[in-house]
Formats: sequence, structure tokens, C-alpha cells
Amino acid sequence: MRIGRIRIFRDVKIETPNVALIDDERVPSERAELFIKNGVFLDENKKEVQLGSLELDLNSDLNNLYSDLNNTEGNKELYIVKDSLPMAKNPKLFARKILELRKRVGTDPLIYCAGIGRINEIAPLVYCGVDLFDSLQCTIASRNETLMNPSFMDTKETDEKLFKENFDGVKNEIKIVKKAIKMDSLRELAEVRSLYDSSMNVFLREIDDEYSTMEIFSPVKSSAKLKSLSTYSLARPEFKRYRKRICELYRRPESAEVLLLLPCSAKKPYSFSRSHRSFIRSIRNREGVHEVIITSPLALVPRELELFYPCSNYDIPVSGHWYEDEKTMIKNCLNEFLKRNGYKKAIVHFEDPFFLDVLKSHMEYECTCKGKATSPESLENLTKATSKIQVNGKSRSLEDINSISNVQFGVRIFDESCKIRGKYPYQKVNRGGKQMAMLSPERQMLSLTIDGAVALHKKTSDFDVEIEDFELKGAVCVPGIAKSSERIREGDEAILICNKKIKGVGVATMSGFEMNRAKRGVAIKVRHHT
Amino acid sequence: MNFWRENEVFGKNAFVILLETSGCSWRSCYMCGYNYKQTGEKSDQDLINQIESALLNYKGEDIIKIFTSGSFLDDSEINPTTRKRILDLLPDRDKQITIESRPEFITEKNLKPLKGRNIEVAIGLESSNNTVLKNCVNKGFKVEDFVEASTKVLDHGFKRKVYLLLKPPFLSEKEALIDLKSSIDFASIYADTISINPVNVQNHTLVKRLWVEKRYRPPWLWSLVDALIYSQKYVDKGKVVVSMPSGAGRERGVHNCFSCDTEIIKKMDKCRIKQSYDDLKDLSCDCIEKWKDSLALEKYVFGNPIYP
Repeated sequence: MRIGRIRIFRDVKIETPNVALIDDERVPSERAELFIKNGVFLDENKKEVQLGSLELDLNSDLNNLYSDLNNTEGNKELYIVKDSLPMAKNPKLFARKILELRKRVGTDPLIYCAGIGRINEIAPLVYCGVDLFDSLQCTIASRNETLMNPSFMDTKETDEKLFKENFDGVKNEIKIVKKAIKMDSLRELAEVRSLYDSSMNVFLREIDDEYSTMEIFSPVKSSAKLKSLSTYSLARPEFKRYRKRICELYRRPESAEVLLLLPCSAKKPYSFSRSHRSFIRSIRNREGVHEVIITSPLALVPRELELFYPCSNYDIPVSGHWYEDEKTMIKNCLNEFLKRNGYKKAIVHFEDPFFLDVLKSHMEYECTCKGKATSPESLENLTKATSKIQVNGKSRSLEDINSISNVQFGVRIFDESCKIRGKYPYQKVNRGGKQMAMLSPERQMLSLTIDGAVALHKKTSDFDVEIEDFELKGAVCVPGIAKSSERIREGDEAILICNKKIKGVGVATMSGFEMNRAKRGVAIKVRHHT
Repeated sequence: MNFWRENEVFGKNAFVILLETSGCSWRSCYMCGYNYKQTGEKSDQDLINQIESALLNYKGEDIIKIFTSGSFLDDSEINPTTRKRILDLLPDRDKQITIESRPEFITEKNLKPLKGRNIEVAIGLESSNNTVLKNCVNKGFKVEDFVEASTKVLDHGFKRKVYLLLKPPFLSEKEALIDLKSSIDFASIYADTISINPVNVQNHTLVKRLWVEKRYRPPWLWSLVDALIYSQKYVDKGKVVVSMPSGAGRERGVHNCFSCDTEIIKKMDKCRIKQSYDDLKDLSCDCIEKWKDSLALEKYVFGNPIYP
């Protein structure tokens, strides 16, 4: 679970996100799954449904109108952002207020933005946690003789069908948003929609600035490819999180003392691409070379992390053209990276190395590209440059797996007695004949066995989930959780602990933040239990 | 000091003097920014000088209005002696003199010295609903206080004028219109003249802040038109109903879609002078649909304005 998710109210057959048609004489009557009338939600047959109730009696308490989001105590199921309409005119404020509310009330309750619901508003707002909209914007657009359209605003002669066309457009957008949620592509949709709408544009930038909040709700693993569509994508929490981990957590394998900077490839994992196969063939003394791929929007991908999510699960048009924003981002990351990781020297096998000034301030370097990176001359230079490197002949595979462990868990959990088995890209970590962990292109992260969980638990409590005493089966639901570490994100490994004993290990299906606040829902899918 | 001339109902005219005093002593209403302009204490002689220099321009208009952006009867603005001197300076003892005051200054002591003059006392009641007065205007007095003051004015044989507010903050367009109409009903008992004042957005006020935040829109002209048509029944019974909105047809004043405003304002003014508001019924513009939407749908957005 995350913000921007589908909720199904089975007994009343209503799904959110959704848009309510205002049931009033001034609004043409259309078919809708949800209506709102006099402060009450109605279903398609106009029967009252309990999604929570609204206070609309304006005369009863006039001061009530002049309140913002501060009144959010209690176990409410539904929160209405009363001043959505004026607030939306100030998208920066709006974004901050919505996120603030979402963080305060957790992910269980619905959030309804009264008066909001232009086609282009819906995806970005759902992405930051809004569940309900209404048809007021359709009325406004129709009065302004405007036909709403996701990519531009069309003006039209007034006709009686205009409201219907607009409302159909919004209903359709709700369908698209739900589809995007199911396909793990809501972020992409939100980016595309905000491109055509200047206020949503500002809105998305603002929520991206609220990284610390958005990051909590962004899974560390999702099924769809993360698409980098525009410069906004650079600020996407998933990408930013990866870059932060590379700059702030990562340490190079000790035995790889020469840095080799390589271009990325369209095909992932990189080492399966034509260009990287020829690079690898040309590199000598590979155990002593630290191959680091330069790419946007991830900045730097050390070779041993190429299987780690999202390094083989992102998509950016590979045109060979770099935008200034990307260059700046990569240079900053490279600088941070080199502050933490020293090398004897660097080899730059890169057609258009725009980052040499950064490199120069840290170490000596040699450029091996003449023309294309895959040209025979370039590859020959690469071979020459790497043949002088001295290596001790030891395999680096354990160090490499520990690199992944470091980025995934913040700690290196495998000691010298661990052995790596398997045919790349599949890798198993064994110790004393017992499997501890597995790395596969499907999971794209280390998945732990009980023995692996023990090793992780010894190093850190960041992935601990204390559960009540019951028999473990396929899944742990929220009521079974006593306390969860808030470092856990959706998709992370979670160690199940009861009475200080490790009872199992699995994958979190919601963040630890949510586990501690939600009232229902599956929290962890159990992989192994004792 | 400032002065100007106005056309009054039934072809009369008025000479208006705006005295610069120390300003309203209440100075807390949510929509009022007049007080901000006041420039501190004024000496008695200063006030007399202001009147004398204004009167140099007086050309025998039927009515003289002396406004202070506060209360003429407030001793802290104009002391009783100066008040008497000002009235004595006015040329013709029979000419109608209009003054304004909050109810708390309308006392036996303050009214007595005015005896024998043709005085009209204007009181800013704003609304006949105590909840609105307290929460939406912050007026600082109750309807009951107004009634008491108004009765005293009548007892002294003076004319009575009441100002009513159209759309104080925190009311939707519909609530504001309903409130205004019931206030008109109420005021018709206690006043000879009802003046309707649509809120305009003045600097340094709470209304300004709400307006900047897009949580307040000045009333629609259509609401004013509707209220004037409604008030015709009191005009027919001999009451005078006027509205001379400031900032009308502009973003900060009572307005419609900005394309029909000028025509409506012109027509409204003609109707005011004739005292016949039935002609307003013929007005039309496409934006009337937006006004009707606002009346019906603003409750769905907690009274926030829907259209600019």
C-alpha cells in the first residue's frame, strides 16, 4: 500500500479514487458511480453510502468556515479539505497542505478535495494522496464554454452536452488513474498530466521538494519500469533515494582500486548489452577495476549494483544528448561519491566526458575513447590501460554482494565465511552449507532466508517488525503487528520478531510508517518462517 | 478633508464633507480599512478649519452630509463644543444635515444639542442578525443596541438612515443575499432610508487577506440587483432605498463578469434617483448563469467563491 492507491468499499460497491457528481438542480443529471448531495455521499442509485459524513451546515457555525487543516483529531474515516478551491489557486501551499494532512492522518482515511477535479489535476493529486473529487470543475468549465482535455484546453460553443462531455472526460480520467495505480505507473501519469497544466506543474515540483515525506510512501521495488520522461523525473523520490544511498552509504569494493567510468546502455542489465559485452571483453585484470556506469537519472551505477533495483528497471531515452540539469546532477553525485571513495587512478571510457573537471580535483585520469566508445581503437585503448593493473587473483564476488547489502540495508551482512554460488545474474549466498540470501533479476534485491535474517538482525534493527504471538502463514496483517521499524519501505525485507526471537522473514507490502498507523491491510508477505 | 457632490433621490443634490478626525474609536470591523488612513489626533481648531474651507465650495445643495469615517457623535472624535460650532457654521438652518454614528454614541446628552436642526442620523447596522454581526462583521454591538439608539433618534424627531452590508466575509453568496433581504425587512421598521453597501476589498482588512487567498469574492452585482428589486415593496410604502457602491464593476468591488457591469451600474443609478427598481428586471447577461451557480453550489465548497 502507498498513497495514491485504490480502495474498494465492497458493501457499497464503490472504489476510490473517484469523482462525485454534485446532485443539484443547477447540475445536469448524468450517470455516476458516486453522488454528493447536502453533505452526504450517494451511490449510483442515489442511496446514501457511508464513506464518512460531511458537515455542510454553514449557518450553524460561521467560524468553522475559517479553519484550515488543523482540526484533524480523532479516528475519522474521511477528511474534507474545505478550502481546496481557493488553495488550489496557490499550488505550492496546496501541495504542502495536502501532504501535511496525509502524513498526519496516515493512509487509512479518505481525503476529499471539495470543488477540485479538472482532468489534469486528478493524477498529480491522487499521487500525493487525494481520494475524492467532485464535478464542480465540470460545471465551471462548461460555463466558460471550455471542453476539458488532458493535453490542451479547447474552447467550444456552448451546447447542452458540454457538461456531459466534461464529466465523461473526468470519469474516464479516474479510470486511467486506477489503471495506472494497478500498473505501478501513477508517477508517470502524474508527470505527463502536469506538463500540460501550469499550476499542477508547480504542484508536482513542490511535492517533489517534500522528498522526506514522499519517500516514505514510495516503494523500494515496484513491478513497472520507472520511466524518466522529463526533467521532473530527476526529482522522482525513487531516483533521488537511489542517488542519496550511492552518495551517502555506498563504499567501493576494497580490491577494486582503479575506477573505470563507462556509458550506460539501453538494454538492462547493462552487462547483457552489446556495448558492455565488448567493454567487458576488452578489460584486463577485471577484479581490480571498479566499473561505474554514468547514467541519468541514477547518476552512478557501480557494476555490482546493476541488478539492484532500480538499476535495471528504469527507462530513459538514450540519445547521447545530456541536459544541463542532468550534467549538474551527475557531477554533484560524482563529487560526493569520490569524496567517500578514493581510487589509485581513473580511466574514462566515455565519448563525451563532461565531468572531467570533477574527476581532476580528486585524482589522475586517462581517457581511452577515440570517437565511439565501441570503436576498435577505443576498445584497444581500454585493454592497454587496464593491462598494467595489478591484482591479487582473489574473486571479488563476496565484496560485490556486500555492496548490494550495503545499499539495500545500510550494512554489510555477509562475513568472510560466506560463499557465492550460481550462474550470473542468479546468485546465492551460502554459509556452512546453508543458504542465507538470493539475488535474482526478478526480485532485484537480496531476499533473505531465516539465516540471512539472523545476520541482518545482528547488524541492525532497521528491518525489525515486532509481531503478536500467533502462527505464521502466508501473510501478516496490520492487527498482528505490535511495532514496526519506520525505516521499512514497501518492498523491503522485513524480519518478523516475537518475544525477541526471529519467527520469519518476508517482504513488506506497506511502509513501517503505515504499519504503525493503519488499522487494516496486509503488511508483510511471509517468505520463510520457523 | 475632502468634499464632493452627489445626486440624491428625486432630483435633489447633496454636498458631502469628509472630515479628517482621529477616526473611528471601534476600528475593528473586518471589512473596514478607512481607519488606517487616519492620521492621529486633530485639534478642535483643525476640525473647524476643515469645515470652513470645505464650505467655501458649497453652492446651496439641498443636503449637507458630514462624514468622519467614524462617529460624528463620538466625543473622542469631535468634542461637544466643536460639534455645536460646526453645526452653527453650516449656512442654512433648515437644510437637511446627515451625520453618521455608532449606536453607543447616540445618547440623550449627544442628541439634545442638535434639537431644532433638520438632522438625519445614519447608523451602520450592517445586518439584523446578531450572529452575522458578531462573526462576520465584528461590529461590536448587537441589533438590540441599534434598536435602542434608533428609537432615541425617532423620539428627538430626527430622520433615520440605516446602512446594510451586502456580503460580509464568511458568508456564501446565497447566505449573504438571504441575510441582506431579512435585514431590509428589519430595517424598514426602523429607518426612513435604507442604504445598501456591498463590501469592497479595502487594504489592511481581514477581507483583504481572505480575498488575496481567494477565499472571498465581493458580491455579484446580480445579488445587489436582486436585493434592490426585492426592496421595491418598501419603496412603494414610502421608504427610500439607495445603493452607491464604491469600486463597483471592479475586481475589488461588487461586480459581475466585467462586460455587463457598466450598463447595470448606470441603470441602477437611474433607478435610485427615480426610486423605481422594477426596471432592473429587464437586465440580462450570460453571466447570470454563473451567479445562479454560485448561489446554488457554493455550499459544496464551504462558501468559497466559485467564479472570479
